Amino acid sequence: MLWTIVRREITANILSFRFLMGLLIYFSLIVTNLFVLTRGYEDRLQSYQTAIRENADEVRQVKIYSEFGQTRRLKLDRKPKLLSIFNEGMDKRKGNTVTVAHGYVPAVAEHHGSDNPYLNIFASIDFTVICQVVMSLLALLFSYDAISREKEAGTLRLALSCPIQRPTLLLGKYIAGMVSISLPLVASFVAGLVVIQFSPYVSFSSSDWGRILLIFLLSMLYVSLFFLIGLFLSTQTHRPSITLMFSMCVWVLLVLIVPNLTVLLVEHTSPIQSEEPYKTQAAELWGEFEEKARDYLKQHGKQGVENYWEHANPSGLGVNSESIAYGSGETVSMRGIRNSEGALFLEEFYGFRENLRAQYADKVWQIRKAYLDENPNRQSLLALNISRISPAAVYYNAAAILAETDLESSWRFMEQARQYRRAWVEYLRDEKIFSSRRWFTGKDSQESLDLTGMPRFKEQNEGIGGSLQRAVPDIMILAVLNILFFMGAFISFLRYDL
Amino acid sequence: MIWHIANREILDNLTRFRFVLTVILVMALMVMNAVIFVSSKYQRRIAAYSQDTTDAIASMRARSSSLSELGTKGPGHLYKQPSPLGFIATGADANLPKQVTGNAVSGGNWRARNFHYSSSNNWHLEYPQASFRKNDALPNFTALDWIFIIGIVMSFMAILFTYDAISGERETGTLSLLMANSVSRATVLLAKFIGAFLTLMIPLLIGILLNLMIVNASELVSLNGSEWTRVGIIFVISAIYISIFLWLGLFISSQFSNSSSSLLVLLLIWVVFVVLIPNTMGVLASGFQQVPSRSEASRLKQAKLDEINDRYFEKGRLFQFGSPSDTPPKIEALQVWAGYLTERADVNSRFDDEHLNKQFAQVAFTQQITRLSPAAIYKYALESLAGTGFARHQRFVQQTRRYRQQFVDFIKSEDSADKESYHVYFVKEGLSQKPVAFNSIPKFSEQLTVGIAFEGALLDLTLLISLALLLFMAAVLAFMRIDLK
Repeated sequence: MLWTIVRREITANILSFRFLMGLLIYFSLIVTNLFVLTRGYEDRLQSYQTAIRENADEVRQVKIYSEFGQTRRLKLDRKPKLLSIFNEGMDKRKGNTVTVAHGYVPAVAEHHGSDNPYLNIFASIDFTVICQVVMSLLALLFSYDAISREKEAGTLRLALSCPIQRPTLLLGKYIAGMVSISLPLVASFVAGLVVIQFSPYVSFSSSDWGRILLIFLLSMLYVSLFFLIGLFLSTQTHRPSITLMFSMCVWVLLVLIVPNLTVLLVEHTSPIQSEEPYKTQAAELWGEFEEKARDYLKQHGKQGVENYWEHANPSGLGVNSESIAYGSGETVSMRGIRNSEGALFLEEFYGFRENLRAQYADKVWQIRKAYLDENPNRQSLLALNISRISPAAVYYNAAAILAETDLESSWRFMEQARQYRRAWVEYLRDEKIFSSRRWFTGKDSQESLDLTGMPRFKEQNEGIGGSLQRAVPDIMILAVLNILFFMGAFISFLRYDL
Repeated sequence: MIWHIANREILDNLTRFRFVLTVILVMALMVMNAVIFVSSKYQRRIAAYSQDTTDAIASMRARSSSLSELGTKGPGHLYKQPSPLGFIATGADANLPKQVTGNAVSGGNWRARNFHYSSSNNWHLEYPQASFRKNDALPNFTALDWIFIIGIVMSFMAILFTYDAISGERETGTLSLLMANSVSRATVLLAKFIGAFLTLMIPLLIGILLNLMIVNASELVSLNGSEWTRVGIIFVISAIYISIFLWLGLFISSQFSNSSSSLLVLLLIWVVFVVLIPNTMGVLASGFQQVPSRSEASRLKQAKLDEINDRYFEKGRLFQFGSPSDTPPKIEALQVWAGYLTERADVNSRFDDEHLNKQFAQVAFTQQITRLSPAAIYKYALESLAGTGFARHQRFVQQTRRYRQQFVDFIKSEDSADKESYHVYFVKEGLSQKPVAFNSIPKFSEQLTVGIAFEGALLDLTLLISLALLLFMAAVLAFMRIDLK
């Protein structure tokens, strides 16, 4: 009996005008959007590859180790995420390149420098947002009159006069509705995937396919929630026009107003404090560091000379030093050392000082970490958590986790960059590079450095299992809401007055 | 007769559930908007702005101890004043920089045989290029301002008020009844429009009045005559904007004989034009109109700077007349160094300006495409009038450039008054060393009159009016052709 109802409903839906319109609109939106975003992805991939090439060139040009400390710091780039085509998330908004040095712990990523920052005034829309906005609206439009219209038209009485139980009828309506909505979703998804596959830059791995499937299922869960909300509201009234107003109101609130309001409220109630006190603290630490370096010179009875490099009495010298709040570094290059005993002392001195610099950079990082955790990161998390009032935000966040474009993924990248810095400092220490002659002078300036043992950076991507695990809370929220609204619809339909 | 029908419509609407809903929603949003604006947003912005300008004035005062210092180091940071009408149109202010910098950043230490000179670079205008947002992890979909409340929520309500105006009456058969009276179809349509329009104006007016009352009650914001005029114009534009959606609703409603079809079509049109188009075009435009990347731009600039270096270092031209810091300096040395430093500053200035112009052109192009959407047109019109958003930022940058010229002229004219100066522009030693009267230095200030604001909004206003007329005609035609059988 259930299948008879399902079949009847599906036929009625598919033949209806709204189905045709929904299909057309949704199809064209998704396909054009995926096309545009694939282009965007290609651009970002190219600029990533250029950046990688330029960085490798930079490293090859290093003649003296201390250049790594200041003038030619190492740069790590983040590859754009392939699935950002489906969910842009933080992938574009957060920076994608970080600078690493033994005196500088990376904390905030910057942009490659290929974007126009003024374009940020436009929000961007991806597959998930279209689903979030358009599919939820379509789902409501399919379900708002499921019960109340039949009641108004009198057919509900007719249907229930047959030996059908109310639960069967409701379940039949739900299944049929979901099947008819999922048709445009599947069609546009497949067409979009075909469009993406045309791009020479894109090839999905099996785990990518898994993620795409998960995003699709998640979208279905989200759409189903709105369908059930519509069904529930439909069992609350006896007139479809009232249900319609209710459901549109719910839609405007959940999809448009709440996500907007949370940002505003969070910025209002917990604003970001000034960074200055932290910067002052960091500057004090750097002062301490300078002090210790001077003490070292004093202890070794070498303070008589105004500038310590003059111990080596070079014929040519270039010094480039910088101490910004959260990092410091010095590049020294000497030519024609005339006092070899002094140069030996300088080796020791640099060995001591640069080691110390790396330690102080770690201390300074702790201060900066405190600022970031207490201010922007806390604010972002707060906004994320509050926005979970709206299932639209829950859905977006879960999709972002599955596409690896969420906030935590970008933090993971930063964490990996810091791990890489630790490995890099270890390497510099183990190879005794700080205290080598090549730290401050090139034997023959044409000879490039031997960097074979240098650690290489590669971003470790989170496995699909890990992503799924993190997305579980959000998925659960959606699932529980689904069940609640189904039960709500079920109970009120049992009590529905015919 | 027309008033009779309109009256009936209004009464009918007023008792409807959707009317109550609209009133509550719009009122709540408007109050929230005003409260948040006066209690935190504007307060914080104004505090930051006054702190910034105080610092900038202090640093300028320090520089005014000698004209040469002021002339080579520049006027310092120039800040954009936050608009008191920011509650009407936030204009993505958080995503736009708040200042332009006119500072000399660094210098060089020059040593050659019998030569020593530590030069400071000459100032040029610098534009921030990093991401401007404090917390870039927060989504930037839209802000809760009038643009959101009227542009998105009210337009949605306009559709909900009209989708069944014709098709609903056709369904129930009352349209034929109505037409059986001696009224022309145009009258009926116009009456329906007036009914819906006046009904929507009620929540809008209440909302706006509440909003303005709260804003005005706070001591922080005091709107002057020009601002009130602009608020008035904004109200008129909002009314035109809402009528666009009413006519659209009536047009689509006359096309269908059942109300659920007309609703579906209207909602889809609304989603595409109001929600999606204003937001998707950013990516599209960057594909069509490319801007050289920042690294590429800085490479080009560096090449040009290297070329200048080569020219001046060739045969030690820069060092042959001695250092400008010799006492007394040779006039040739001053001229050579002034030429060198000025050319470098000019190149910096020219390349930065050009790069920024290209970036701006890209944004402007994107805005042109988004004008496909009436919501975007409305947004730009409101931003122009409220003095926020990208158009305002562009004007701000233009004015800083004008100020740059004014500042240079001032330095030159001050310098020519000092007889002891060498009158060589621009090298520290070639200028007057006397202090400058601080009050005589031109200060940067922006002016936004009703005229300028209205001029900026004129194009958008024309577009909105034409669109309203177009949809009006379409609705009339469609309604005339309805077959009432």
